[in-house]
Parts: sequence; structure tokens; C-alpha cells
Amino acid sequence: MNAGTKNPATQPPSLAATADAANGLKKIEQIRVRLEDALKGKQDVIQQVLVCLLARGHLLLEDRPGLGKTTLAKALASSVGGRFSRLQCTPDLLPSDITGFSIFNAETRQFEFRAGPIFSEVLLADEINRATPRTQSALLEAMAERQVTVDGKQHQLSNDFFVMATQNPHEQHGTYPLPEAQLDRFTMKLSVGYPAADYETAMLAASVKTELETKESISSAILAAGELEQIQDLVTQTRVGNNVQRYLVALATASRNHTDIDAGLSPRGLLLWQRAAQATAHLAGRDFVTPDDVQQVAFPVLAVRLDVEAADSRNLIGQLLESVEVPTEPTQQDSF
Amino acid sequence: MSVEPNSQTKKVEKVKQGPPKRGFSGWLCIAMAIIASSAVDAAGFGFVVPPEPKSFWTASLTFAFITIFLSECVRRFAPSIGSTNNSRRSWAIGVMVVGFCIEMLLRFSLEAPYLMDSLLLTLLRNVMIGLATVAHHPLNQGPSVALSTFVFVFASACFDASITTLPWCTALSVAFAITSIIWLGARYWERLHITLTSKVVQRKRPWWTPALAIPLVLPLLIPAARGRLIATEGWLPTSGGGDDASSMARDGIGNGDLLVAGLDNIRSFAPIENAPFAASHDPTLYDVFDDSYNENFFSKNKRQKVISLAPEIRALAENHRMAKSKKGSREFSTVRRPGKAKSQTLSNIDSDALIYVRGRLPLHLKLESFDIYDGVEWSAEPLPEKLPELTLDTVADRPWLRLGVQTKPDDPHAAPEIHSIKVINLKTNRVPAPIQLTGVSIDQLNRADFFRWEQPEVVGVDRDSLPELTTLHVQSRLVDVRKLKERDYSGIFSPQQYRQFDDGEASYRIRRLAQRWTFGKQKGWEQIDAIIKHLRDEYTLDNTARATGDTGHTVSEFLFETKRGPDYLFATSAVWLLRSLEYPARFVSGFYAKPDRYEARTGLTPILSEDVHCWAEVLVQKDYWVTLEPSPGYAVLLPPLSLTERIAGILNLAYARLLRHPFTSSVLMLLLVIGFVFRRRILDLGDVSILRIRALISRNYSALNTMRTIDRRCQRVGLPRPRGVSPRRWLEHLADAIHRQRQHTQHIESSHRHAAEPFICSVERHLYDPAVLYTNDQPIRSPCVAALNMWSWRNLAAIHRTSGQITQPHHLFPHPHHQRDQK
Repeated sequence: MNAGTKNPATQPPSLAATADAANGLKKIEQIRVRLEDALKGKQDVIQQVLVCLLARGHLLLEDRPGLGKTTLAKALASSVGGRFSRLQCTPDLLPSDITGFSIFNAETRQFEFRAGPIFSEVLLADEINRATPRTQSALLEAMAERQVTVDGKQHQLSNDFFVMATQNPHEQHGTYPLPEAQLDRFTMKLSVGYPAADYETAMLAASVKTELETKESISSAILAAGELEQIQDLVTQTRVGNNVQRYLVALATASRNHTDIDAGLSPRGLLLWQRAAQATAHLAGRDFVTPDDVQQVAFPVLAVRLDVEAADSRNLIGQLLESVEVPTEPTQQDSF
Repeated sequence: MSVEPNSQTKKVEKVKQGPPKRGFSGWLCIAMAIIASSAVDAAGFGFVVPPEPKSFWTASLTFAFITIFLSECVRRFAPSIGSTNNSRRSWAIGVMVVGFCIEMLLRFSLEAPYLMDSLLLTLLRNVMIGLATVAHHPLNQGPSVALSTFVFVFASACFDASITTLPWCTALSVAFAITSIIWLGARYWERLHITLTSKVVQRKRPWWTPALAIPLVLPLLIPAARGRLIATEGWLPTSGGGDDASSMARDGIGNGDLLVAGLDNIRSFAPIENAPFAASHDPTLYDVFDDSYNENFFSKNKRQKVISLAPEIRALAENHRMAKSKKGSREFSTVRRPGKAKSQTLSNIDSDALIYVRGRLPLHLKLESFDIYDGVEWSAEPLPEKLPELTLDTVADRPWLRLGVQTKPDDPHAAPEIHSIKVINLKTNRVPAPIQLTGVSIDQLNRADFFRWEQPEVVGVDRDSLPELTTLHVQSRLVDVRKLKERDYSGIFSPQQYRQFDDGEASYRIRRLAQRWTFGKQKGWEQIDAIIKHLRDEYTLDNTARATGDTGHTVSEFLFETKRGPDYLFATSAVWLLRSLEYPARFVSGFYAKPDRYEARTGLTPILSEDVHCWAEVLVQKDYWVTLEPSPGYAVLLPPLSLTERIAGILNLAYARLLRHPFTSSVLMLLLVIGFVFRRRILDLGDVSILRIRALISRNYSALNTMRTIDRRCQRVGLPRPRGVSPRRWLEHLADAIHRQRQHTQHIESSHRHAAEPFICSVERHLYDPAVLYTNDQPIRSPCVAALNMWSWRNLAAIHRTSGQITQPHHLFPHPHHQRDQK
């Protein structure tokens, strides 16, 4: 094909961490099994949750109560092996309830920082749209920069910090819709949906088992400390051809030019999308991204960003994907 | 192509420290470029045309200085220029464009002429200089020398244009030849040196290299495409043809209004402005008629008549005849010596053509008309006293002689048309012209009194003969015979001379014959047509047959006894038959431009001395004469066809062909129909063949090309891949459909999707993996062949038939909800 000159210096970095990657993928598969145990018949949702995890993004779950959002979050937290905090958002929740606060220690006669629930690996913010905007915005810095500032002092959060927020779509009374700035910091929005009848039967059957068995199976962590970060670093090394990047930009441009969409995809959204596509490729065991990976995460990534009704978003995103041509010319060497 | 990883470092021409040395051959390259550049100026492509010694030296020395200066600058300050193919190309193009811009500016400011070919040559010269300036890289010497040679050869072909001002310019050829031979030697030794001292990297040529030979083959096809070459007219270097005109042109083919005189080449259709009307000392009227039909002799009857006259009266008559013949109006005898006519060749002009004609064919060019017939001889028509005044007007800077023809709206004429006639060797002062002449134009001849009437509707120039190489443009308008057929033919007033008929025994028989031929036909064009048709069908044209004139009436002898004869007997008979039915008619002699003689290369038709011809004319309305062609094998020019008539003609022709070759055409039609019905399948077969041939050549299948072939196949079957759907998803979708279909008919367990995986993976890697640029290709023959077989035409067509509609692309996008619904 390409008879160009071969220069050893421009050879791609060979995947020195192939063994690491295989090992990481094995671990991820274990997590997947555990999540599927916890939430039966939701392979697609679990796939996206894993993508979001590997893409170092935050997840917004939007669905009715009792569909297993919290179960999913807890199972994930237990697998990742870090601290898990749960935040039940109410209108009277204060920012300091999330970030923590400084307290005067009479003994040392100094202010001491008491870390809030945000200092954890997995943070489940339940019914996030019931918190006041002030409280919601306390999450902004934490989600974007993985740090919080309390009393003018910066506190670093865990590198594996992962926010899973849930919200109830149909509850109108006493909710504060998330501001766009906040929404844009989520990588994906997913809805869990009702399980299929077979799975519901299986679920019922499983609940009859002794609680002891269930507890044991969930308790132990799959990933050791720092392993998630390692896998996330591997994801960033997944190659993206410039034709796929152009495809992403074309999709973003199409979303901006679409008449039914007020605000198109932001550059940050584009970056998150590419990272999600990389994670998808990595999960598939590939070291390069294809347009299919991009399409695979298009719905959850765009759903959180395009300011349209949930029912419309599916059609709109379908239209966008239809309208932009998938690149079929081979990728080329970057000219810059 | 596996190249050693460190082969690059061993490349022969590596830039060393300091400016690279220019070998002897490099200097020779520059010298050749300078000589070739001088040749361009010497050939008259420079600013001054024709070139003068002063301008030549200025231009040559300037170019020499620029070349040497530029090459030294490049060698010292930018030695990397020209070291690789890319930089050489960029440099040459840069020099070409910059040089061209400067040249255009100079030409524009100096108002120097510029013509297509000279500008092309300028571009080539710039490239040549650009290459010569980087000749210190031996890599560039070959192209530089090749281009120099081309430019030099091209320019030297035009040296003869400047031979008068620069008589020593051929010395450049000698200089160039010597330099190039020395270069070859020097280059040989230098290469030998390089080969012995270094390792040369073997390069693999790309597979399409043989295609480069196509331009070399093209010239071989030129003889096969004679007619097509006319399309290049005006584009070929130094043609100066077409409708444009340039002082840069040195030869002319075409109809430009400012063409140069084609004095040395008879085929160059030159206008007359450069052809001077010098006094001619050629011999008097050269009678081509006698040459073609043999001289006339007097039959016994006639001779007796002449002898019976008193000598003094005879002398008077002879004198009278002499006077007349000087004016060109003489008798035309229908009785001639038997035997083959002797042909005479002229020694002073290397063409046997008397005139050349450009325009629609066949064409009857009239020289003389005859009205009175005595049974043997035709007498030339006298000049009537009242003739229209000859006037001159100017149309598009060209003087046109107007013959005072009045046009009326209901004239049965076609649109006027123009024929161009170049006189080569015609010893007459008459203008050979088509019937219904309306205007004559000789360039720069803007005096009406230079022309005079010779006969009704025949004009001549006021001198002994038309000068050689004169070009005439004659405008005429044909009577549209089709319009005549619709008109009623009512009694036409005409001079008595055109109705002359005698009451002899012979004439009576002739009238009976004419009445028999026209029995039941309507008076008018129908009867005329019938007579001509009978003559053409029932009598044989034989140019060697002669009438004896023994009966005293050659027409009756021809019509009733011999039934074969030369064209003048046909013409005479036609006139006499028509006159017997009281149609005014006359006998005409002149030339016939045969369509067979048309030369496609020049667009001209030569008329030779054997093309003299006699025919008849009939008067249909007061002033409208119509050409009649009674001789078989000759045709009359029809008015130009309209578009619908032309299309109908083509259809008729096609239909006639069809009937003539029923088997071939039915097979052809069948093939066409089959080809049309299965066009998509045939295209697909071609596609696959190309793929396989390319795979054979490169010894490996290309996953991408296979994917594209399958993509096109899907499109042709009617299952085009939606634009938003990736090849993987679409191919898997189709594989699933094939799988489902197979399961219906036979039980196959293995998933097609699984079988397709290696191919799809390879396609994806080639399409989207940036690292694929650095990896060697693995042989992927079997996945590609398997893919072609899986998404085969038959399988795809089966899906198309059963599904009818393609699946909505919507369902092909991954969406959680969609997947949930499915489950």
C-alpha cells in the first residue's frame, strides 16, 4: 500500500503495555460481570458506564426511581475499590455538606479541615436536581478539575474521582434543572429503563438467596489502588486517525448548524466525546478509534449536551449521524 | 518492497559540507540550456519578430547571464534545492511561473506579440533554465538535457523564418550538437565513477510506469486519425490558422483573415493581400476543354458549308471569331476527335490542381454559358446590352463586389453561402463561380472597375487571366428545389434565345420523346425532373465515346442511336429536350468540384484539368436559373440541411445500414440491449477484474480496494450504504441478512458475521488506524476473496429482492433504547 520511506523515528510507540492492557481488560471484564449481576439485562447501560469510567468522565443517570441506579453505583464503587459516598440531594443541602468545612479545634487552637463526602472515589449524587443551584455549582470545580477550594485553600480530590448523579425526569415540583455549565461537565447521560421480563424473573429468583451470599459477592474490590488510573492512561493512548477526528468535528458542526438545536456541541464536549470513543475502542480491544466507536457513544454523549427534550434527542441525534458521511478515505499523516 | 532500514543514510547524493561541486557535465548542461534559449530567440519566438542581430544578442546574453547567475546563487546559498524530486519539481515550477510572469509583463509593455505556441515554448524554456540552474545535482542533468534538446529541436524547426535576418543561426545547431555529444561523454565517465565508488539504491518502479509510454504511442495513431487532426487546427505550433490572426504566424492553414501568403506551399490557403498582382507573361488562355475532350473537328456537312464561302468572307469570319475568342466567348462543339485525351503537365508549379475550393461540395463552377445550338455547335451567349451595375461595398473590412442581385422575400432561395476559391493555374480572366452568384471578394481589391461582365451572371477581372495563387471568395445563393416543387409553374417571360428550337425531323423526334417521358406529369418542376431522371437512368456516361456529327444533329444521334457519350452530350440533350417542351434552358461549361477529392487535412478540394464539365441550366422564374445535372455520377449541391433534416438523414442512413447488414446489426442490437439490461452487472465484473489484476500486479489484495468494490457493488445492486453508516456496520448488517436468508433455505450454523471479521478488521485498520502508515502489509488474499464471495452479486441481489427496501439507517445506529427494545 504505502511505499513511503520508513523512518524508525516516526514508528508509532509500540504498545509496550500490551500485557498491562490485557490485564486491565480482564479486570474490566470482571467489573462488567459484577455490574451485570447487580443490574440484570442492562448490558448496554453497563457498557456505557464502563466507557464513562475509563474515559475519566462523570455520569448522569436519568430515570424513574427504583430502576437500580443506586444499585449500579454501589456495585461500581465496590468494584473500583475506593471510598464510596452517597449524597442525597435535598433543597436544604449546603455546599459545605458536600465539600467539607473547617472547624476550630480547641486543643490545637487551629482550624481543621473536615473533608466532605466529595473526597471519595465514587460519589453518588442522588436526585441532584433537587439541590439548589448554589449547591449544584459546588460540584462544578470538583467535576472539572478534581479539586475543591474551601476557605481559599485548594484540596486535591482522588484521581479516580467519579461522579454518578441521578435525577428524576418527571418530577417537576421542587426541582432545579441543572445549569448548562454543569451538564457540560458530565460525559454522558444514560437512562436505565425497565428490565426485560426474563431478567425481572431472574432478579426475583436471585433475591430469594440468602443475604450473606449476596453481600460476600459484592464486597471485595476488583481493582487495586492506582489500577484504574493506569487503565485510564492506556485509554488516552488509543490512536485516533485524523479522518475520524474530522468526522467528529463534522458531527459537532452539524449539531451547531442544526435548526432544532439551540446550542450545539461545545469544544469540551468534543474532547469528551473523543475520549469516550477511545474508551470504547479500548474496551473492544482495539488500539485505534473507528467511526463506529464514535457512533456508539454518540447518544449518551450528545443527550447530556443538546438542550432538547429526551424524546426528541433520539431522533435528532439519529438525524445528525445520518447526515454526516462516515469517512471512507484512509487516514493520512498529519501535516502539522 | 523491503528496503534496508538504514538505506537512506547510504543514499548516493548526500549534501556534503560546503556548496556541492558542479562537474564538467553540469557546466555543459548550462551551456546547452543557453544555446537552446538562444535558438528560441533566433527562431523568432522572442520579443522582436522577425529577430534582428541586435535583439538576438541582447536576449541571448541576458538569458545566459540569468542562467549562470541563478545557478551560482543556488549552488552557493541553497544547495539543497534540486536534491530531491520534490524540491526539483517545486523549483522548476517556481522558475517557470516567475519567468512567465516577467515575460508576460515585458511582452505587454513592449507590445510584443504572443501566440499560444510561443508562450508554451516560453514556459518550457523557463523550466529548462530552472533545471539547468540545479544541474550541479547530477540527478537533474537528464531532465535538463532532455528539455534543452526538445526546445532546441522545436526552435530550430522554425529557423527558416529568420534565415534572412540571422543567416548564421544554423550555426547554433552545430554548437548544440557538439555540446550535447561532449555532455554524453562527460556524463558517462562521471556516472561510471559514481557507480564504482558508491552503492546505488535500487528503486522499485510503481506499477503504472508502463502507462507513461502511452504518449509515445499516440503519434503512431496519427495516420489513422487524419480527419481528426483538423480539430487541432490553430493549436499546433506556428499554424497561424483558425479564425485568429497573428503576426507571429509563419505558415497558414485555415481561414483567418490575415493569413500569410502561402507562396512556397500550394496547400496553404493564402489570402491574396501578400500575393501581388504582378504583370503576368503567361501564355494565353489555356484551353482545358480541348485538353479533356480533344479538339473539335468540323464534320463533313459543316466543312462543306465553310468551304463554300468566299475566301474574303471567310477571312472576315475568322477575324471576327478571333476577336470573340479573346473575350472567351466561343463555340462549343459537340463533335470532337475520338481517342483518349492527352494530358499536359505544367512544369513550373508542383501541383496538378487548377484551383482549390473550400466550401460545401459537390460544386458546379460555371465559366461559360451557351444559348444557340445548331445541331452540332453551341454558340456562347452574347453579353446583353443592359446588365446590372457592378458595385462595391465593404463587409467586415473586406471589399465585396455586388452583382446587383435583388432579393425578394418570396424568393425560393436558401440562405447565401460563401465558397473560397484559390486560383493556381487557371488561364482565364473569368471568375469560376457557382450559380446565382451574388458577390465576389478579392482581398484589398477595392475597385469595382477592376471587374467586368463577361456573360450574364459571369464576371471576370479586367486583365488576361486571374493571377496565380489568387484567392477569391464567392457568395451565392442556391435555389431551393424543394420550394420549387410546391410552386405552380406558370408561363415565364424569357428571352427568345433560351427557347431556340428548330423544326427539323430530328427535333420532332426529340420532342416526341420528351412528351413521352413527361406524360402524365404536371407542368413545371415535375416534368423537368422526369427528363433529367430519364437521361441519368437510361443513358451511359462514356467520356471516350464521341458523336460523329454525320446526321447533322448530335442530340438525336446520342438519344436514339449511340445512347452513350460524354457529359456535353448529356447536357446538350437535356437542354434540347427541355426546349422542346418550351422550358427556357441553356448549356453551361465549367468545373465540377468532386467530393471524392476533398482533402480532410487541409479542408480543400483540388480541381484538376480533368474536372472540366458541362451541364444544363433551366430558368424557373424570371431571373432564377437552376443547375440541372443530366450526367449520371454527378450530383447537384443541395441547400444546407436544417437540423431536423440532418437528424432524419442520419436516421435514414442508420436504417439503411440496418437493412443492409441485418445479421450484424441485430447481433449488435442484441448486445446493446443485453449490455443495457445488465450494465450494472457488467460494471461490477469490470470492477472485480480490475481489483484482481491490481492484486496480481502488487502480489497482494488491497483491503480498501476490495471494500470499495463491494461498496460499489452494493450501490449497483440497490443496497447503497447510507452515508452515516460505517462500512463495518453495513457489511455486518448485510452479512446478517445473508445469514438469515441462508438459514431459510439450508441450515448453516456458522455465523457469516464471524467469517467476515478478519476482512472487516483489516479494512478498519487501513481506514482508521494512523499507525497503518508505518506497518508492512500482511498478505490478506483469502479474507478479501472470502469477502468478495460473501457479499457476492448473487447474495446481495437476493437480499435486495426479498427485502425490497433497504433498512432504515436509524436502526443501524447503536442506541441503548433501541437495544433494550430488541431485548
